[in-house]
Amino acid sequence: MKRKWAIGLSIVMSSLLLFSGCGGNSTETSTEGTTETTTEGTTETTTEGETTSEGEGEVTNIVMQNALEKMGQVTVANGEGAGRDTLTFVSVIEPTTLEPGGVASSDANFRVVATQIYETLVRESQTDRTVLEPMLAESWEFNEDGTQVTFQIKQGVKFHDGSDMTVEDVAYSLNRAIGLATNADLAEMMDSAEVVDDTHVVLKLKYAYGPVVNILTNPNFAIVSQAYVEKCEAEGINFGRTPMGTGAYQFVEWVNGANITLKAFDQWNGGEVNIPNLIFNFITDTTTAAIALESGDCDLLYGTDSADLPRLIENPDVNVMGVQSSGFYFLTLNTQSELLSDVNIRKAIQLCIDRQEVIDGGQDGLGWVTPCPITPGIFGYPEDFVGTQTNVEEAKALLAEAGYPDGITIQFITPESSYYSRPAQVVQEQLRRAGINAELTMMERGAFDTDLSNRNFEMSYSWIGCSYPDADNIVYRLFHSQYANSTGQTNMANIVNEEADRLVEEARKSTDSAEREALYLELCELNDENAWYIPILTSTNTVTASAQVGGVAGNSGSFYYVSDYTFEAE
Amino acid sequence: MHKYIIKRLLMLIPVMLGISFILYSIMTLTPGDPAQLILGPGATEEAIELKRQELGTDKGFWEGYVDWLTNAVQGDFGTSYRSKEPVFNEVFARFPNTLKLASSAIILSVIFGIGIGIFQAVRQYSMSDNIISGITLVLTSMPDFWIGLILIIVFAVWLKVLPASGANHWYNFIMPALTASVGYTAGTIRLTRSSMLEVIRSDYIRTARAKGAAEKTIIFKHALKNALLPVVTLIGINLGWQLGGTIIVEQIFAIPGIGTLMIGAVRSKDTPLLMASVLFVAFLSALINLITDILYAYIDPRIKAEYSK
Repeated sequence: MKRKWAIGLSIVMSSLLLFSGCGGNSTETSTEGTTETTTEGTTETTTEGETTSEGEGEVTNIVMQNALEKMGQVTVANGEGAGRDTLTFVSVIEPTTLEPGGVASSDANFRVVATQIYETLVRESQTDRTVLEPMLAESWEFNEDGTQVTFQIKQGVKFHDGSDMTVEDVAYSLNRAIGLATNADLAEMMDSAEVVDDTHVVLKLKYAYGPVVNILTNPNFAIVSQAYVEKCEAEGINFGRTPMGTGAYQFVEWVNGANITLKAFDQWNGGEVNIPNLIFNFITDTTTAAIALESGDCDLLYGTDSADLPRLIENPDVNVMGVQSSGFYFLTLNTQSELLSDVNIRKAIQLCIDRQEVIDGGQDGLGWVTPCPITPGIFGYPEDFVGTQTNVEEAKALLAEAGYPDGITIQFITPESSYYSRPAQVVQEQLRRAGINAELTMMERGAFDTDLSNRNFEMSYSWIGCSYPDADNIVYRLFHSQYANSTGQTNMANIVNEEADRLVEEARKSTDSAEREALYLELCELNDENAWYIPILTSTNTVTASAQVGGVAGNSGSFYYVSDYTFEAE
Repeated sequence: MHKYIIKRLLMLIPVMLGISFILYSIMTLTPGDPAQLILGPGATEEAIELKRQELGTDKGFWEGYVDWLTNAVQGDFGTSYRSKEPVFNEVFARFPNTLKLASSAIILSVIFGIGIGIFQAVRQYSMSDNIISGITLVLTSMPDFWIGLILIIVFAVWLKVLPASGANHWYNFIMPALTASVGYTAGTIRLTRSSMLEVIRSDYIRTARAKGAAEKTIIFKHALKNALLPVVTLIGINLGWQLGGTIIVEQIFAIPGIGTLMIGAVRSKDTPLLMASVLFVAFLSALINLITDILYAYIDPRIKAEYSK
């Protein structure tokens, strides 16, 4: 009798071990996902599901490939929820504040909520980032030398407190945004804004800058009420927790850590919105968030873990809309470090990299090969650019030529989140093939940022986002020598190259599109020749909607205007 | 007794000081700059320096700690770096959820734990005792995120009878409380059983049986009181743990509690928020320990005699 018990018990125990083994991965998945979104501020959807064996890995990849194809098929959902009045939007990270400029301009968690409450002068088209649509500005015009933009301001716009939006409010908001530390990178070329007359405001620039209007789509440049902001400051009210703007939805309540409730603003300048109530719920666990969508607890989900994607795609009640993100993951080779100052060694590293393999092994196939630092959908993207192809033999030859026939050892850093650490491990393996021993350190995010900013590394794997759809936003800060040997996450490769300076400067100043495109292509080639940065991959930006909601479109800038959505079928 | 309580309360002061110092050291001496994390990768060096001054992180280690301590003693624990809200606003907004979850989990574990434990002890080595022992062993070994996910799949996805997430209604807490209580219930069952068995074998129980007392009286009046001592300790410890936030359960069921708040504060290097929330939880745990010790006195007169010395 006792023996039977023992056998029975051991069977139960061993099956438990198996279960807990499976479960272990899923918790890791969720916590990693959160880390990523907190630090980066955007929800980069990449694959987290660990594959247990080679065979299964292949299956997952096929699933992912299908997933990518299927995702492309649904771009705009069709509403079937007629008669409903409340839309529940789930985001995996709660914003820290709803004050425009209170967070970094790249913080998508802020953006998702703020775009409902505030309005900017212009907005990006939901389908094409490079196309601008009027919002609070009806039109805009550059002066002859391109150093001033005059905006014609929409009339009859009201703030949520019922007061009228004036040109003074617009000028005040812009000047406030220009002066904020969080906007230092975006507002660099802006000087000040001034009221011209009752309907016009001029934005003066320090130098001519074509894409400046695109920058104003960022909610950090949203129009706020001067009277309200000053009142908050005078009375010690936390503006970030009691937001007030001109947007389609007005603030009702913020339950710390749980949800933010908004309601339609009845005097909104855009007319009547389709959905009267909007609730943002914050569910940090991505799997729970996906289940909330499947079980009908919520209608819209921002921040889907790709482990859940195949299941959501198969679900007929759910539409998954994923588009290629405009930011990308890349290797930085610090040209001021002893070994990597030698271009041959940098080239050797570049020749070892097989991007598709990194995507398959490190991202479960969910990603796009990215050979140059400008991604699709961004002005300046060189469509036909291919770049250096994998060639391990040549890499070995270059190493020998540089005087290291037996290989080298370099220090390689990356954040610990699996969005980074898994692809970085594949890279590490690829380098080993040519005898390059990359000692990989997976670091806590804050520590990684500090090391990266202080150039305290030889090689790093990190991510850069594109705040507005123009190549200048990324390449100027990555390549210009004015940022070399300084601190901050600009020109981390410490490039001091006259040709690179010339290209980014000319492309920034030029107003001729064709000329700019040619300059950016040249820059991509120059980077490829010198192997300063080795772009690897881009991932997806996903929004998932219940089939009851219509009008939702995926977009790479994370702008989701709920005022465009409807519960009615089209 | 009063003297004892006052002594214990006074002892909290050095404990709190120690905790705050260790926390402050960890938060400031580990790499990562909150100013930089807030401003993002694009910020200039001047902007970061300004932000540091605004946050007060530009001061030296000792100066920073002394400043924090001076303010804290006067009741000002600062504002969160990120939300700019006074830290206790955030802590108190989250705490009710943690308290609901913790207390319901503990109540479940006490009811089932002690009840089943006694039942088993009375029927030692019977079939039911063996089966329950097997089940408790399995339950103790199960990680709670796994139980949580299984409950979600069954009750939220398949049966659609309970919500998978949120903390708005009482029924939101059914699955989280069950999940959080499973491990504790199993532990309580095992401890109650073994300590009950020990007591049942003791001389005074044999005496009670010999004088012909009813079995019910023996178990509940004579044995249980003595057997409960270690169980009360365990429950106290469990409650302390639970109030510290069952981070995993909170995360899985999207309950905005203390645990998720602390994790968030660590990630964003929000020192004032983390210190306030950890100190608050530490204070509560210490209080619960004290209450447990006082309860001993009521359960066991021998200990009461000790206290009065």
